[in-house]
Amino acid sequence: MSITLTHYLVLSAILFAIGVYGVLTRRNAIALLMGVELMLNAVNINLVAMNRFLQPDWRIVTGQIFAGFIIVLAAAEAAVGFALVIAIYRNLDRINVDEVNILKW
Amino acid sequence: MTLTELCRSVVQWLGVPAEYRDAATLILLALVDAFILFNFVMLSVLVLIYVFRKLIGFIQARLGPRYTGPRGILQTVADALKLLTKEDIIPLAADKVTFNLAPLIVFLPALLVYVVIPFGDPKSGLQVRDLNIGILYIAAITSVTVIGIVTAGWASGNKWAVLGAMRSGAQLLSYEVPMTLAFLVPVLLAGSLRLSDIVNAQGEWFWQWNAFRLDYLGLTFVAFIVYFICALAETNQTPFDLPEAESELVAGYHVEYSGMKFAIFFLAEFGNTVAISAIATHLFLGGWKAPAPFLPDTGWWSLFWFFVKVSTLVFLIIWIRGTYPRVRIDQVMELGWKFLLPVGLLCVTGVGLIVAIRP
Amino acid sequence: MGEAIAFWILAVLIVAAALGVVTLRNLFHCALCLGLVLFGVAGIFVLNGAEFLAGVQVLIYVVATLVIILFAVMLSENITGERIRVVSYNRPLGLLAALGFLGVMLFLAFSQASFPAHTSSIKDPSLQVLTDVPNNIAAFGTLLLTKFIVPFEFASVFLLVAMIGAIIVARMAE
Repeated sequence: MSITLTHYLVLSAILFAIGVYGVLTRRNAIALLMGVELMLNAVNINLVAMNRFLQPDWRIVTGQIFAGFIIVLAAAEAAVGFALVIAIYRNLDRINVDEVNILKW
Repeated sequence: MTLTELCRSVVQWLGVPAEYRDAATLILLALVDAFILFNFVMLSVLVLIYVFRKLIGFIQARLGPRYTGPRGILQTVADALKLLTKEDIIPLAADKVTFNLAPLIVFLPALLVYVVIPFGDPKSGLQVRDLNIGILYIAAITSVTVIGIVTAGWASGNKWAVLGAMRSGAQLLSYEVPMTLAFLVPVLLAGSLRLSDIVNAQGEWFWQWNAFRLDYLGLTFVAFIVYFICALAETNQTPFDLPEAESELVAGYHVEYSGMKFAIFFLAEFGNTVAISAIATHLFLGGWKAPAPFLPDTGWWSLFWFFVKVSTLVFLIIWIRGTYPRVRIDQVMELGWKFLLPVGLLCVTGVGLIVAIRP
Repeated sequence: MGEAIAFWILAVLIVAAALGVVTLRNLFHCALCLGLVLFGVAGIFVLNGAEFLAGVQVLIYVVATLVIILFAVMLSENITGERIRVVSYNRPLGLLAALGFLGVMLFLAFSQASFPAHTSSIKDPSLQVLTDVPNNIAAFGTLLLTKFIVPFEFASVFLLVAMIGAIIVARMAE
């Protein structure tokens, strides 16, 4: 069996759906951010697979550059996000996103 | 007959159907390569541990192992047997799955990094895989050790282990940055990330090796020193072995490990030591090349020169270990961020400018 | 043939580890499963000829991001040793939403017989610099520094801002 673009699209769709499930059901801030990382990786798989199958010239790697930028930005977002989680934990002693609501009146 | 032909004939003899033959050959070749590499690394670590103990003994004005076997050669075997027969204790508060998994995560990178390191001339088949991304692969894989150390500390369920693991993780991550900058200097000079290209870009005479080149104003020698110090910090060697010294934090992240799991940590540390020496010789000391063009350096001679250089660096590491005192953790971080990082940036910028300017 | 074996092994690994990330109760185990997912995705990159990106994925995601996650897990649990237990809420609704997403994306993936090919070719003026690159890394680097130089510089400034922000946010209160 030869692997076509559809295989990679299905894999990325499943990974994205698992990430969505993780973000919607987990209330711990760290677990939620891990679901976001899953979604970003699914998008990366998509981009790289499309670059390989739809761009016949191997030298044009636009999809891979796009995926590279996503990796870089995801790392920066993870750094700031987890720094926020640590700061919240230090001040409120809990990281359940439903209970961090001291700004609500 | 080369290894590939041997695997192909074995696959044919096994009667694998025709369309799976290529894949089966690749898989069998990979398994055979992995087996050879694993055995080689284990044997070299065994020899290294004996050499290490004898040398440390001589530096400390004593004789080292003497009684097990003639002149103590079988000491490592005796140590291995002792560690194998020790009771495997898992503390009550430990998380069993991660406790058992952590030594594996520390040990695998020490083995995996040998896949790209050429032990001699790659044309003589002395390199497992000459990856296009050689240096990037090495930088990425050696950094996976941090995950293993942090997991080991956390899984022990012991607050001293957690503190030791966090200190070690902080130290390892801080020294990643200057080490990557020092990696970039030979890459700039060779224009490629492949290890064989980097070695081939160095000249034939020993003053044309990357460490000793004068036409880059000595910046490559500074990069060599930066890489060496960062590699010592990355593998938790003295003077940066605060996270794992027995007298600090009760041996840090591997305090709760006994028997074979501790042996795995130990093996990983020595495997990493040989690996960083090998990488330093390829990047800065001319790899498998002889010091002069009239000396032979093809085939088995390349293996000989490679071992001479790696042994010199390993001797240097052991010498430093026996001579220097330990550095405190805040001094370690200060050295990494405030000294090595600016120096590394200076090296990369300087070498890059000279590479861009010269015709 | 070899690619099929590698793809199926990696796909099973990724999906199993991702399910582990969203269902396990011990937060540290979730983080380690995320590490497995990231390694699997690096393998998929290698399969698609993006070898430089695979190295970058391991170097940035596995080494840097996963260590941030592990440190966050270790710093946000009581140091006396109680492990963080993660509980999932609203499981049926979350499952419904995830399956809805999956349905939409699978429909899009299968609805077209073939996707339109890219229209850019090596003869485009901005891509002509790629004519004699020896391998994937050289192509990536060349394109990054010629056609995509503005996003590259922006990403550098962005990383600097993120680094300063993270340090300030996570600093101990003076």
